[in-house]
Amino acid sequence: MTQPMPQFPRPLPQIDRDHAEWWAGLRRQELLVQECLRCRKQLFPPEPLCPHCHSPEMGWRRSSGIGKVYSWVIVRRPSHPWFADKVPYAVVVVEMQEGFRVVGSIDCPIEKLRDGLPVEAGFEDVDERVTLLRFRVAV
Amino acid sequence: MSGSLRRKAAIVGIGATEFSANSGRSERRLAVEAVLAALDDAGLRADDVNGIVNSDYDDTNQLDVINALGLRNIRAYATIPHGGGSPCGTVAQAAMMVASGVCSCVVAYRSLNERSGHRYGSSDAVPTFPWVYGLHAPYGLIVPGEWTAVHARRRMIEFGETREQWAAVPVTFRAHANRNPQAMQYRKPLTREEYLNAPMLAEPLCRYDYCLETDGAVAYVVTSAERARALKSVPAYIHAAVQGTAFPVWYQTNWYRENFTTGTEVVATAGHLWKESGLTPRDIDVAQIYDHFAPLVLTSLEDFGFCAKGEAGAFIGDGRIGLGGELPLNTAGGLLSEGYIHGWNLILEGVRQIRGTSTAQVEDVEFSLVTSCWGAPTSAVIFSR
Ligand SMILES: [Zn+2]
Repeated sequence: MTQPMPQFPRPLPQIDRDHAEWWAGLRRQELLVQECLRCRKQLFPPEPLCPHCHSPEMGWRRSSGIGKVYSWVIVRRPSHPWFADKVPYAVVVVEMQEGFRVVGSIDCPIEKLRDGLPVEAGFEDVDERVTLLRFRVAV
Repeated sequence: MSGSLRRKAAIVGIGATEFSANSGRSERRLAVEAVLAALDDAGLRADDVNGIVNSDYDDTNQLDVINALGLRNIRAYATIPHGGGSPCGTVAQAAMMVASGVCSCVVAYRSLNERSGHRYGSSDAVPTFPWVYGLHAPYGLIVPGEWTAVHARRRMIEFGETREQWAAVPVTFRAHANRNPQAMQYRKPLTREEYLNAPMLAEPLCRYDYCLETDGAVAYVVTSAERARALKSVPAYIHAAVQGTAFPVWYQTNWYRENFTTGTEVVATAGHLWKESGLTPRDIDVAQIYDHFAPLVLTSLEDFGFCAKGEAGAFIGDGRIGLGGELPLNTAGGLLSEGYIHGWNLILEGVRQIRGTSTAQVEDVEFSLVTSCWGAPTSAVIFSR
């Protein structure tokens, strides 16, 4: 580790009680989607109870991790100092096979990004607590 | 029209400071300057004020305004939440305070040093992000321009839309600003070529797709329709003023809902607006559409029913949204070219179009529409003459 500590750390999520299980899933390399145990509707982002039937009995389903690029941005002027030496970088919105969408980074040259690009979820541990989604182009 | 607010109240005074990159004075000072200007415009005095309204994002506490102006007769006060979604909601609030009989004179204000002070497009000091923001901020999707780029890209994918089509928004609004000495971009023309050749910031958006950053304040005064007729100004009657939202809603970061390119909260607001007003989009003579980012003007036009979903790219072409067109938009220059008072300056221009005092005046205006932020719990108002 010869790299100096960056002056600004990477922005990170606050993990609260209603969403701790979702982040715990990423740490286990599982992409989870919340599912209502009563009406079986899928929900993302998670809520403290089901907005469709108001059941408090909510469970989790493990996603296949397979999806398609739905939209993206290529950031060329950084807004946060941690990203200053990372531009240009892409952020993708991926529609998973199960129908819900998530945001992630992607290992793909920015000029190759396109609507519907098949991808699969990868997982990147960024500290002792947080794991983030990093998609790969599916082969 | 049972329970309707229709034409029960009017905006009778409007006031603003200059719009600049560095006001050189406090946000409090700007706020009270704007309030005094609005009262003066109406021919009213500080002692007449008995209601006060502002936005949750305002750093100038209502107490600051009450103390600075020595207001002694306040009997109702409200702060409307959701930032850029709030401006027209403050008009609805003020109209309700007056129509209920609780207040006879309500002032509302918005003051910010958004360029020399806290810039909404910067995130330097933020280390962690709460729930839904935590789902995207760690990847570098942090500020509104970056969020909106994802939306804009999806418009391109679904509707085959192009930057050539989007260009009509910044170029037309700039032309309107070039007629308005109050506008920050008054002396700065913008050509279509400059727009198309501008470097990308958060691709597919360039700087001209972004609203300005502004120091300044605006204020307005609402009173009852009866009292308005006795005052010196031309009343802009509040024909309809509504708020609306609907599940699922977050601040411009709603990648998760079923339809990416429709704002459920905006469609809900539009539904209330047309029902309350008894009007349709065809009745609107001129509109100020919240333009934090150029492509979101297109989405707002669709969600308010001015054209079908996916057709705004064509709708804004052929000069339709310019002066002399079928639906002139953002006639003072909008947030893109007049200044960014978080959507509140659009209210003042909506009033000027009713009064006949805009620097880009539309002829014979009967109904003037103003909308607030797309992608948040939002609001809209129609003024009538
Ligand atoms: Zn349910």
